Amino acid sequence: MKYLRLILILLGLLGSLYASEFEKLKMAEERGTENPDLYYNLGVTYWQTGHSGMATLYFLKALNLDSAHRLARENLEYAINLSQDRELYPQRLFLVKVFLSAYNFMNLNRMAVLCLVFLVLSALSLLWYVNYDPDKERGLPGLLLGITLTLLFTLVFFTAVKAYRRSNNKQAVLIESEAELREEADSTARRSAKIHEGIILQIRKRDADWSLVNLPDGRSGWILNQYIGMVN
Amino acid sequence: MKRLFVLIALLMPILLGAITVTASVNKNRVDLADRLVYTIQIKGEENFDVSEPQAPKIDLFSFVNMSSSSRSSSTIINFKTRREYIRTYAYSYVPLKEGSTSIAAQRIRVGNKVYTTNSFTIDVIKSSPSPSQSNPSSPGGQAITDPDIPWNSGRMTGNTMLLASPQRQSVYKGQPVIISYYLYTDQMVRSFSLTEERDFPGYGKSVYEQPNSLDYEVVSHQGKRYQRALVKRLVLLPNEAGELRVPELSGNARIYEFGYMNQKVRSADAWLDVLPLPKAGMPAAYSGAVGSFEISEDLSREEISLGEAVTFSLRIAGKGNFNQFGNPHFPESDAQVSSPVAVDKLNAGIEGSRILYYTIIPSEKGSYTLPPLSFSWFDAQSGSYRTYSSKARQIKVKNANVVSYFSGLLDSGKPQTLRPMLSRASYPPYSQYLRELWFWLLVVLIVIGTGCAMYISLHRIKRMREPQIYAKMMADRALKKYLAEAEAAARRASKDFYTLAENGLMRYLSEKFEIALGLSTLQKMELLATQNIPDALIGQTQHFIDTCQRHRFAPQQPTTSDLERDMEQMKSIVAAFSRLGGRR
Repeated sequence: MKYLRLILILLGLLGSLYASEFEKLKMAEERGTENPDLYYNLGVTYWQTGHSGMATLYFLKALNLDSAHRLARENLEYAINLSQDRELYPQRLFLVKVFLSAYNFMNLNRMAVLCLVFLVLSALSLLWYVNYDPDKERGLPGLLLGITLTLLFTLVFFTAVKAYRRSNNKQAVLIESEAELREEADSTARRSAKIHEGIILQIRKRDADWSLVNLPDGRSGWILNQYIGMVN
Repeated sequence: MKRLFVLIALLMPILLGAITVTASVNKNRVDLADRLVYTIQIKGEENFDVSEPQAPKIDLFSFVNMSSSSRSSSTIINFKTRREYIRTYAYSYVPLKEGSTSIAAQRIRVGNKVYTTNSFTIDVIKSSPSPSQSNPSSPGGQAITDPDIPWNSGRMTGNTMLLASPQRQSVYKGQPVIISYYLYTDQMVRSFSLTEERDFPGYGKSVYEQPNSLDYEVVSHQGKRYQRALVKRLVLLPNEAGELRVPELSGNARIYEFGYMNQKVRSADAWLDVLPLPKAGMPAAYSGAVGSFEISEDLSREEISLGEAVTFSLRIAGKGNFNQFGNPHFPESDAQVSSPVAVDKLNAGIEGSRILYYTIIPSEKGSYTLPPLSFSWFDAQSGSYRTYSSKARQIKVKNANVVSYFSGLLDSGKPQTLRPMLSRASYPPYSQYLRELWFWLLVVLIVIGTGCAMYISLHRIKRMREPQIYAKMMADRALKKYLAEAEAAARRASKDFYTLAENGLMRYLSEKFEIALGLSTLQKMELLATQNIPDALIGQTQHFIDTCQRHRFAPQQPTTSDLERDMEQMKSIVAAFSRLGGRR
C-alpha cells in the first residue's frame, strides 16, 4: 500500500511536469489558490489564445486581490484600450487619476501596515499629551495627537471601504464575443445596447438567469448570466 | 409518448447538471473460467464529489477486487475550453456456478443528487474452449453493438487501414489545406494510438483536430462497407510549388477478435498538386497572404487634443495563411504611427480573425489626414489578387490643454504591448494581513499597552496633583482587599474571622500610616497616638484587637451574634480611620 501511494505520487508529479502551462495554472486555480500572480498569468494566457474577455476578467481578479499589481493593471489598461467598447469608459481628470493611482498603490496589506504604524503613533502621541508638563502649553502634543488620530481614522475608513469592496466586488466582464443588453430580463425585450467581449460591467441586481448591469458610461440593461464572468 | 421519453432520456444529462453515470459489464455471458468486470463510470463537466460506490452483490459470483481511476481532459473548441472529469470504478467477480443472475440497478450519489444505473442480466455457462461473446458492452463501445456496422462476428480476420483524405487535390502555394486521417475497418477496433508522424519537405503544418475517442460512421470504400473514425486532421501550408507528399501517420490499432491484439497501421501515401502564385497582377505591397478574407476598419476618435492618441484598427477575418503574411504599414506622414499590435482569434492558425491596432499621435494641431492603409492578398477561390484600401480619414487636432498635458504625463507609461507572464515555480496563497491572527494580536497588544500606560500615567498624575485624596483612595482599596477575606469568614460563621480581621486591620493601618508590620500591638498603638488620631478611636481599635486575640485562643466557637457584632465594630473602626485621611 505504501509503494502504491509512492507510485501514485510519482505519477502525479510526472503528470504535472508534462501538463501544459495553462493546465497547470487552471489546476492551481481549481485547487482554490488565491494568488494575484496566478490570476495575472491566467489572464496573459487567455489573451494569447484570443480570449480577451477571460483575460480582462483574470486581470480584474488579480487586482481585486492586490490593487497594486502593476503588471495586471497595465495589461488591463492595454486590453481596455484595444477593446471595441473603449469609448464607453469615462475620461478622468488629472487629479482624479492621481487620487486613484495612490488609492490603487495602497493595497489592503499596505493599508493594514500603515494602520498599525499610525495606531502606534497615535498611542505615543496620546501618552505624550497626557504626560506633558502641566505647567506648559500643550499645543504641540495636542496638534500631533490630532493629526495622528485624523490620519488613523482616515486610514481605517479607507481600509474598511477597500476590504468591503474586495469581498463585495460587483464587477463582471463580458466573456462572449458580443451580446445585447435588454430593457427587461427577457430575450424578447427591447435591445438597449450592443456590447463586445471584454467590457467591464457593474452588477446591480442578479437573478437566476439574468443580471441588471451598468455599462462604464452609466447606461444599464439586462444581460444573460451565461455571457458574463464575475470577478468575485 | 415513446418519443417524449426518448427526448427526456437524452436531455437528462443536461437537466442534471451535465453529470452522467453509466454502468457496464465486460460480458453478458461468462464461463466458469472467466471473470466478470462491472464498471461504473461518472462523467461531468465540472469536478464533482462522489463517495466510492459499494461493490454490488451478485448471485452466483464472488467479489474479487475493485480498482478506481480518475482523469480529466480539456478541449478547446471554437475558443471555448471544455473540461471533462471522469471517474471509473471497476469491480471484478469470479463465477461460482452455472445459472442466470442479474445485477441490480445501482443508486450513486454525486453531490446532492442520486443517479440510477441500468441493470444487467448475466448468464454463467460451463467453461468452453471457444469463447462466445454475444453482446459485449462498455461505455463508448456503441459502434460494436450497432447492428448496422459491417462487422461479422463469425469472421476471424478483417481489414483495418489508415487513409489520408486531403480537402482538395490542387492548391496554391501558401493556401491552407486540411488533411483528414481516417481509420477504416471492418473489425472491432477498440482503440487506436498514434505512434509516429513522418514529415516530408515542402510544407508547414499545424494540428487542426484530434479527437479523443473513435467515433465511427458507416461508409462505403471501394465497393465495401466499412466503419470509419477520424483519427487526426492536419493543416498543411505548402511553401513550394510542385507535387507535395502529405505526412505519413503510423499507429497501433487494438483489435478485439476473441481476445485483444495490436495491429500496426500506416497511412497510405497521398499527394497534392501545389500551384505557384501567378506573377501577373501581383500588387507591389503584396506580403504573401493567401486565402479568403473580409476586411473592415475602425478609428477610435476623429477629434483629439494635441498630444493625445487615436487608435486605428484593421480587422482581417476569414480563412487563410494568417501566420505566413506580414502586417501592412501606413505610409510616412506627419504623425507618429506605432507598429501594429496584432490580436488573433484563430483556430489552428488558419481561420478566424486578426485585428491590427495602430496608435497614431499627430504632431501638429489642425486637420490631420490619415493616409489609406492597403492590404493585398491572393484569393484562391477566384485565382486572382485583391487589395483593400482603407478610407483617407480626417482627424481634427485641437490645441493641447492643461488637462491633456497632465493626462499625457500620467499616460506616458501607457502600455503599448501586453506585459509577459511572470515566471513562478509555485503559487502560494496570497497572504491577506487583515485575515492573519498576528495582525489582530498586534492591534490588541498596542491597545492594551496603551491602556496600561494610560492607567499608570493617570495614577501618577493624580498622585502628584491631589496626594491626600489619592492616599485615601489607595487605602480604601487596600481595605477592600485585606478585609474582604475576614468578611467572607464572618459570613461562614468561622472562627478564622478574628485572625483575618486582626491581620487585615493591622496591614491596613500599617499601609495607611506607614507603621512597620513587625511591631507589637502596643507599639503600633503608641505610634498611632503620635499621629493625631483620637484616643477614643485608638482605644476602640485596641479593644477590637484584644477581642480578636481572645477569640482566637478561646476553645469554644464564637456565636453568630458575636461575629455579627464584631464585624460591625470592625467596619466602624475602618470607617473612622478612613475619614482621617493618610500621611501620604
